[in-house]
Amino acid sequence: MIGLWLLVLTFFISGPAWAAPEIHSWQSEHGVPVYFSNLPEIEMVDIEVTFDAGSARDGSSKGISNLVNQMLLEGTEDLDVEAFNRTLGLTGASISVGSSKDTASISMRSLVDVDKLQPAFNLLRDVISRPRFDSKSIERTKARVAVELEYRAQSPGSRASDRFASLLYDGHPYSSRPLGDEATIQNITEDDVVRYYDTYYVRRNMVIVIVGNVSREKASELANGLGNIIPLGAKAKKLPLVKKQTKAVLDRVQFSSIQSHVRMGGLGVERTHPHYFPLVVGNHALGGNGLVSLLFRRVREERGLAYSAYSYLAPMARSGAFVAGMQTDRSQEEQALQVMGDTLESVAKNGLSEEDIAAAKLNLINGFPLKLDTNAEIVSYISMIAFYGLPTDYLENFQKSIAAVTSEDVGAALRQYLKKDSLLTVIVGPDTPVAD
Amino acid sequence: MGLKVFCLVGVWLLLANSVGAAQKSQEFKFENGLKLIVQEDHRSPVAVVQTWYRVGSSYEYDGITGVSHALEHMMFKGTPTYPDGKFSKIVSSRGGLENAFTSFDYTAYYQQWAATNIEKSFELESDRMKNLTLNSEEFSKEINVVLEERRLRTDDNPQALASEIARATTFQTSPYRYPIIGWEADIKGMSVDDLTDWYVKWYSPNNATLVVVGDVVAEEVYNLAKKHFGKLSRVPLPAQKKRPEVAQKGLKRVSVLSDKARVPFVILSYKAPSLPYALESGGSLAEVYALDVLCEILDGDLSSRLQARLVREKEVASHVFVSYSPTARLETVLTVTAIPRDGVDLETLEKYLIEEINLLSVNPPTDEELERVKTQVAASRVYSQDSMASQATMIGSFDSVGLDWRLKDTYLQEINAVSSAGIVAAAQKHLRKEALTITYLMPEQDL
Repeated sequence: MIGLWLLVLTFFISGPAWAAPEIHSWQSEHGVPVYFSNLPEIEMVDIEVTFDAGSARDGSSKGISNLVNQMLLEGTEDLDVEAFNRTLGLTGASISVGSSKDTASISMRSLVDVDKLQPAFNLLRDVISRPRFDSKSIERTKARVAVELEYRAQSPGSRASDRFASLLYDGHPYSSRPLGDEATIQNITEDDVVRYYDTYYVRRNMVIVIVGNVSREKASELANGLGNIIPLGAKAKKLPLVKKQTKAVLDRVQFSSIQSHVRMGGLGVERTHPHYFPLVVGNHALGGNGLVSLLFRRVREERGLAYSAYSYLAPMARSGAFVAGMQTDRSQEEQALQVMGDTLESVAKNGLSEEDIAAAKLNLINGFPLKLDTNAEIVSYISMIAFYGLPTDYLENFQKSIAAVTSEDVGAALRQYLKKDSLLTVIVGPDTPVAD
Repeated sequence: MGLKVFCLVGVWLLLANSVGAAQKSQEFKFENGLKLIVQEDHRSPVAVVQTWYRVGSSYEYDGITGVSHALEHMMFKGTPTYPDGKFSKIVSSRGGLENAFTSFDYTAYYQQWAATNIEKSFELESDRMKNLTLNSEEFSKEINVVLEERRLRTDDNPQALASEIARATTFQTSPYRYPIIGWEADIKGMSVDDLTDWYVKWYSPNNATLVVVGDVVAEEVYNLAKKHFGKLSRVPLPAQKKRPEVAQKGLKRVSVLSDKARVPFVILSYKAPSLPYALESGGSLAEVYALDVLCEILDGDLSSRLQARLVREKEVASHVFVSYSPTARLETVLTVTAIPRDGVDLETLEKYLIEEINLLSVNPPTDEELERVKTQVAASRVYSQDSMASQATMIGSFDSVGLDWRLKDTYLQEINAVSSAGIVAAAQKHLRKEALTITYLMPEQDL
């Protein structure tokens, strides 16, 4: 053990010179938080704008957040969808959209030459501030979502994840999947789309991230150009707290697949919670560290029961989830469940071995530079910092925060978050083994 | 195994340096046949090390399909020097990412970590290149993992299963008809001896290329590689019989009925040349570049023809995907896959797709369409510098099929040379009904 701890120090001190990207943050002239990092090596810039407009804001119109977000790429007030796509294509830039339970975002990557960046930026500005919600596009987008829902419905893994969330967050806005349901999607009207956009795509819900080969002055000018065209609006209300599970639940859904897909776990925490870093280390040792984590070894390496056996921590604005998962042939389901259940139970009871904790910490600390070795990764980390209001030295301090976690911290956190008597287990698969 | 013959290794050939947009690249070759390609990238103090073997599912034959992929799994089971997951523990403790992938034409292993660790990569990879422990106890567990992987990726995924059948129908004699993961019966019938045999045949320095991209100095990388791989000896590679695809004599059709599918689709698979195939058969490289641009015209971005006309204007498709791999080792395939809008049947959608492909000759690509494609290719070359891993993968995948990896830097010029007339000619020659296979995936409840 002493050896391993020495290793931590050795790598930490004599490791390669690595510095977290420097993040500057300020308010745009219209009060929008701006986060900027100057990365001059590649002649490109990324701009990502995130709104507090994720599916947790759907209300009864399940799926509207995703629908509105997708609709942003269907043309602007000046350019119909055909003209918009043709114009964008000639800039070499790409504009994409994406949403989650907490967020809705619009991202652009462009070359930095003025004759490419300026027209691309103008399109980005209009996508965000002057979208064209025409009814034909809305109907077509709804039809596309309907196909994506059908696609999801035929996937046992997606079924298991959706079912897990719906039970874990029962009664909470996080309980539904961001795509919505066929019926709720069909009921969404043009007015609903406009109303949702007007309510949530406002300055008070907005953060801007700019990363790449532009000066701070240029970044400020770009951010002002985005901030000044969006109405101030009202800040979205804080989401309700999530109710804790009070009893263990085992839920089985019959499905016409060969494999059974398993999800096991419960609520996690938000990033600012004191248990966050202990849980990051605990999860990494349990199932987040690929080939060397405990679940991988027990389920796959020692018994060959599954191709993937993992756990993950998904922190959100409110308690995220802490979930273990795997998939196995129905004939081995009982055995695999036993192995995963026993592993979680023993970890909740006795914590993890010193060796496993040390190994997880080493990987998290020494591997951190790899998480930030592309502009794309840096953009998404900074967006996360901006949206959740984390300190701008979050990246700089990440390794120290991990190093400070003790095995007692990890043990205490696992005891609390993997409690056997509140564990949720979801199995999606066939009732009986499928004959060859 | 375990043979270690020490011999002097020197630079056999130092090919010309290639200076890309921001990175310096260099190639070295050792006396034992090993190739090393280094691309310096000093943005971050990290490096990716990839070890490529020129073997994959297209080297396999009936009865042992999936053996390359199964061997890739077993490569993580240790050697006498690094037994029992020690390899992975070392990589993990130093913060590394590691994994491997098997394709039709190659198998590659990688570590991505602090650039100071590249010597450790070489030490570990040179060890498992020759000293892998292959025992039946570990194998019997791992082959179950592979079966679970097949169930997850293919058997429980109707679209993947239909794509596998489409491929097996498209190719009659070419080994491209095999799935990379292998047929289920072949996986079940595989023995550890099949893997040992495959390992001894193909895993040697003269069948491998090391690719290193990152915060390194090329000459230092060369010296470290020499230290660890230089002692390995060359092994004669097995003679390979050619198994070219026979000329297709007319349209082929196949239907996949699935009680698991809820989303139908149609795949049009056209036989098409690749760069290595054109080089070997004396065909035209320009034609391959023209087909590549043609794919962009059909489905490069949201302004492309299939998106604008079939998804938005006529509203017969909800999703369209075009795929073509100009860097495949053998004669390859250009596919157009489309999911119908609700209420549109597959026959109607097929008719629209073929009509749109035929329209390429009637309405050749306009100057504006070509400009859009070329602008985007130029921009994506700049964007691609962002990821060391994808730079390394590009280099390794080109090299492993016998192409000059410097193509990644000259690709833009080739694309710029493509003309509208060239695209029309390539379309007329290759996107013909006689060389077409049509696959329908039909949800059983719809029948």
